[in-house]
Amino acid sequence: MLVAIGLTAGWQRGAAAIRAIDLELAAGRVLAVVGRNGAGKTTLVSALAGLVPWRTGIVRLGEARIEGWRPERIAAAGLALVPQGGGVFPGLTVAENLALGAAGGRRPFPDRALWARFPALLERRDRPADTLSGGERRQLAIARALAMRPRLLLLDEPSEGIQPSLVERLGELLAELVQVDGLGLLLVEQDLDLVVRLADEVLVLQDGAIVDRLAGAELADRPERVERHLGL
Amino acid sequence: MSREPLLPSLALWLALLILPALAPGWLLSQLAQHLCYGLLAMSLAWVWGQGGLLSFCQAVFFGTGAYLFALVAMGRLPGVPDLPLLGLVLAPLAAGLAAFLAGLVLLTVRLPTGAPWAVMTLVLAVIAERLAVTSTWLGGSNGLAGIPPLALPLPGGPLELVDPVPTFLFVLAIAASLHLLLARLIDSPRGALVRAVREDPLRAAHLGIDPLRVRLLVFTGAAALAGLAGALFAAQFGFVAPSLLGLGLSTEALVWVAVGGRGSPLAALSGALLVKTVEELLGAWLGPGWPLALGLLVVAVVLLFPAGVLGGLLERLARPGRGR
Repeated sequence: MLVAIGLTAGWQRGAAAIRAIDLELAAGRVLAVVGRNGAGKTTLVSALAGLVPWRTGIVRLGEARIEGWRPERIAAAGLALVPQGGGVFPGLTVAENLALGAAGGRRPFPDRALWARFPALLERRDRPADTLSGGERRQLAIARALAMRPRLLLLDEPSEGIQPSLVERLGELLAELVQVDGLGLLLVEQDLDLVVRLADEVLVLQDGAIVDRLAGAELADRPERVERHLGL
Repeated sequence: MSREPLLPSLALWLALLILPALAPGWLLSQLAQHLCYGLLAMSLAWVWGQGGLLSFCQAVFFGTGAYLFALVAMGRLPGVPDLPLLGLVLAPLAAGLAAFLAGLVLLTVRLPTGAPWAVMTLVLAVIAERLAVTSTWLGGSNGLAGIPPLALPLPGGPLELVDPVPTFLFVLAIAASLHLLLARLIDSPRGALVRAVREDPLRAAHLGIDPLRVRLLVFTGAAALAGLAGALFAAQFGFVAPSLLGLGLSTEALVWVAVGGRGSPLAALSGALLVKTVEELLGAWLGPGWPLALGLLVVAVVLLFPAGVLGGLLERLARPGRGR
């Protein structure tokens, strides 16, 4: 379980990029974060992953207080991040990228179950990551995070820049991770259809603060409640 | 496919292996010393090419190994028996320890690994040379002379490595073995981890990898390799001087690696052999004007072949297919 209470974080002291964030993410649940560009969504997931300096507030992962921890320690504790754009290492092969996730998580590799879940990656295992398509790169980023055997996954705009048919497949994969593997997902996403499909709870972020929170089903019934914050 | 292509590697080592049957003794002696420089270049290719840590102090660890070997072989290290072979074992450990301690200070203060890091390594090289010049224990600016050669304990009695052929073959065997080990390391998941930290340390960190730890290990390992090279050099040369651990040799090593190619240990080693050989030839042809000619040649090579003369070629051979 990931809990943040009054989390304030940002690069500049006195000008926090996210302020007083309260959130809770349990295993087997999906918490979506939506908002306009510049609302602080990426800063929020980055702060939870330890990549943005923490200022005040509490962040708890299980029993451990993780605020101020270094990113590698947070990742090793079971909180994995799939950054915006995937963040794969273009100069490394598919297999090497995956082994990195396993190395960080100190797990044995190769992992047959992981390859079985991503057959397209298995086919291209010895190719450099910069030869993959956008959709394959996104798969690789998610697979690499899974190689860490995390308890919770932070996904920053996983559908960005990939074609609609692949977004559909991405939705299936993420649903499987929650329902079959019991992972908890914090999903930053612009695609409201994907959010409606997956989210148990939705947070609306504006100017670095939460301005609304609603259940996933509520978003399906009353999309205008979120759309006005997104300027749609 | 391997990142360090097999065929060019085999070709180089086989060509060097048959050399004792063809080349005169003086050339073998010279090449054996150049192979030590080649090992220094390989260590720089590891720390700079793979690890992304541009080091102006690689000779500090070469010199540390050379001095440590000299001190042990000459019985100047209290409590340590004066066995040259023991010196050869202790030299990489001492160089690795020196790098570990220096790296612990430089890396844990979270010094950026670009220009600030390079400048600090440069300062380290200057300080190390100064320390050696002022130390009477290390022979001051005169260095230490009369270092006994290595003696290999063979069944028929110890074999002193004085003659060119056994000395060359011994250094060649060590250089080839270390190249093989380094090539395997680069190809292994650990090698990928090192490159990932080089490409983007923050991205590596959110995968649970500690970039500081990785860099410290890379720096330490490279230093141990340079230390062994230094010990082998001192064992052949019989003399060590402060210039062996200073900025001059460190910069020379950077030139070898820039010419050969920093992406591959084989290219870096070949760069050292190539530059040292060209140096000898230019010296014979041009007399005192050779450094200027060599400098111009190096500038031309670096401009024309940014990945190194051999490096660019090997990269193309080693790169797995880009077609989809």
